[in-house]
Amino acid sequence: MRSPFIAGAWYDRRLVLALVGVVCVAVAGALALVLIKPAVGTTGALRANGTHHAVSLTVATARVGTTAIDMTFTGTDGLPSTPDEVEVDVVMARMGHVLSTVDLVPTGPPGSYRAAAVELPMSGQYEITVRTSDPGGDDRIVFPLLVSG
Amino acid sequence: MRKHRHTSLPRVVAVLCAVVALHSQASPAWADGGPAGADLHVAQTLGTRDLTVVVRKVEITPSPLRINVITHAGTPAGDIRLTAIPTGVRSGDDAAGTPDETVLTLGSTPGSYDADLTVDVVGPWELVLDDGEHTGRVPFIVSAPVALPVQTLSQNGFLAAGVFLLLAIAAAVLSRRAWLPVVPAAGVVAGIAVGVVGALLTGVVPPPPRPGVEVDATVDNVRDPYAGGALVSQDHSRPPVNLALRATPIPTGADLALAVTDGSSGAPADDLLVHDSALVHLVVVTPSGGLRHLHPVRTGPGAYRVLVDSTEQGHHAVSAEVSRRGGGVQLVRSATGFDLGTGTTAPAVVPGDGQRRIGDTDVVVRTEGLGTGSGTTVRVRFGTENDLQPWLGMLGHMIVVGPLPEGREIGRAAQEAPVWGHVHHMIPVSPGATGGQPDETVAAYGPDTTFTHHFGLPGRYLVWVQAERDYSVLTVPVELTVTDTEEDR
Repeated sequence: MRSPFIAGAWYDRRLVLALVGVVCVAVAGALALVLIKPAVGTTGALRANGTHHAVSLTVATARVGTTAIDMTFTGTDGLPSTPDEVEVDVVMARMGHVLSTVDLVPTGPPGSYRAAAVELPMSGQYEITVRTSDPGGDDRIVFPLLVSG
Repeated sequence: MRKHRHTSLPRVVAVLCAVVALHSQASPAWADGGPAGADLHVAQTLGTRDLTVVVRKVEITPSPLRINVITHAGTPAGDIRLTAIPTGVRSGDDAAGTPDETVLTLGSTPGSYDADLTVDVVGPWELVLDDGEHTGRVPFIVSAPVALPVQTLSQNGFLAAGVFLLLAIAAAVLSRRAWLPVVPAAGVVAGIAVGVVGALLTGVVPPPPRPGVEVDATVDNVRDPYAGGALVSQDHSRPPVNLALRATPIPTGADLALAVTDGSSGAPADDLLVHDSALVHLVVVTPSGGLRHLHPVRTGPGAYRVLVDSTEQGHHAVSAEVSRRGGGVQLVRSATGFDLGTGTTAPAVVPGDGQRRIGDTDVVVRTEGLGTGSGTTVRVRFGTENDLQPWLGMLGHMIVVGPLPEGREIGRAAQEAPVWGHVHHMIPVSPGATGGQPDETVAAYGPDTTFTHHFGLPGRYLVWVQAERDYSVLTVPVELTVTDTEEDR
């Protein structure tokens, strides 16, 4: 009879121990993979449509510290648009903490703006509110942003 | 001789199945129209119409979105334009979604009027109701099916166990080496262990913050609430709000504009949740002691509007019950209220216990324990049949205001009253019921409603008990005199 388990054999115990080890490693590894998932800050461009403008917003580094924020505006016709007024606020809604109003500078191409140094003092959920004013009406678009540590 | 113990495999499997089944029960429904795909019931006072709008849940996209608009007795017939607009912030190459609109004709008979719109992307949307003069914008979320990571882990564990089992059998049959089948056999055991542990953890691992309820919703976090990696529950509550009123007199009363702003930033608070089937529960106490329980429509970020039907001259007291994203209901008393005209209106005579007729319904009021030392119970019977309908998700509501000094205009006294309360009589749970909360087309409750409230201060109170019958919201005012029974102890 072919059996890997022979009573009293030294390799019997080794096989059992190896089996238990494999099970433990597999379970621990799989759970770690699922449960200990680090919080990842928002990456890439965020886009949203207002009534008069569509806004694309890119946060260079959604981590605690100082980051640049780029914005481009397009009109309802899909072409770059330049609102008469643009204001940007950064808020941690849960903390009741309003960061000072962001200084936004046109970067050259129509409808493109940049805030070079926006302070993100702690990790968590932020709201970046973009307000535009035009003779045709106002827009208020809120971008949720997750900032990691 | 070595003694072998034979373990019963079926018994082990049965135990495992029972444990897995016990821990794999359906998770509880999200409250307040959360992202898990529940129906959203929201009351809207659109112009002179009191409507209940039900946005039915959507399982997949694109698909039809069923809208039920429930009208009440006296709701004018006419057309309402319904538009669904995608409003979500998105990333990557996600499509923006396509707005869709339709016209719904409301008849003069109260009841449910239905329309279908199409939604083609998941994430935050707005339903716009437009009667040609007034516009209300209701935020809602089109959800996506979400698999729990531990559930996926469990499924993958069992799948791996099956694959390893086949390999183990093949190795045992084909290989001459005795140790070789043990390797895939170890994989079988490991796979089953991962599957069982994953299943056991399915109901234990804390869920992520709910998009739209605890955190701002985006297309990305609605599609995958676990993407942020935050599995630890935390306090998501936000600062309290301020409420500013602007009343414009109109022939039927007042056109009331409400501005709801964040107490910290001063910016519009545009994160009110639908709680108890409304974004804002506005309670107005008129100069004579009448009650208006209204549900202003959202016209823009933090901006609400409602027509108050009151021809009484004098001061109107106002409070709003709201719930911000992040949790917690708050009662915001307007510091100002509003005045209509330059005169005053004498207080109406409000009875206590006994029988009275409200509309076509005989109502009997009975109170027990009118003292500060214990709870006071107000029992109100509407008619004699079990034909009450749910209103705002409840069988009945009782609004409490007081103590009110004698001889003062009620609206002015209510403005300064120490206590404003809102008590519910819940809809009884039907065993085995599915499909979410019953809407107002279900007339199967009552006729008795019961409300218990602890009155902390002695004095004269006005309470108004509200319930719905024959698509009419019946409001029963009751005067209570609460004695100081704590002093007697």
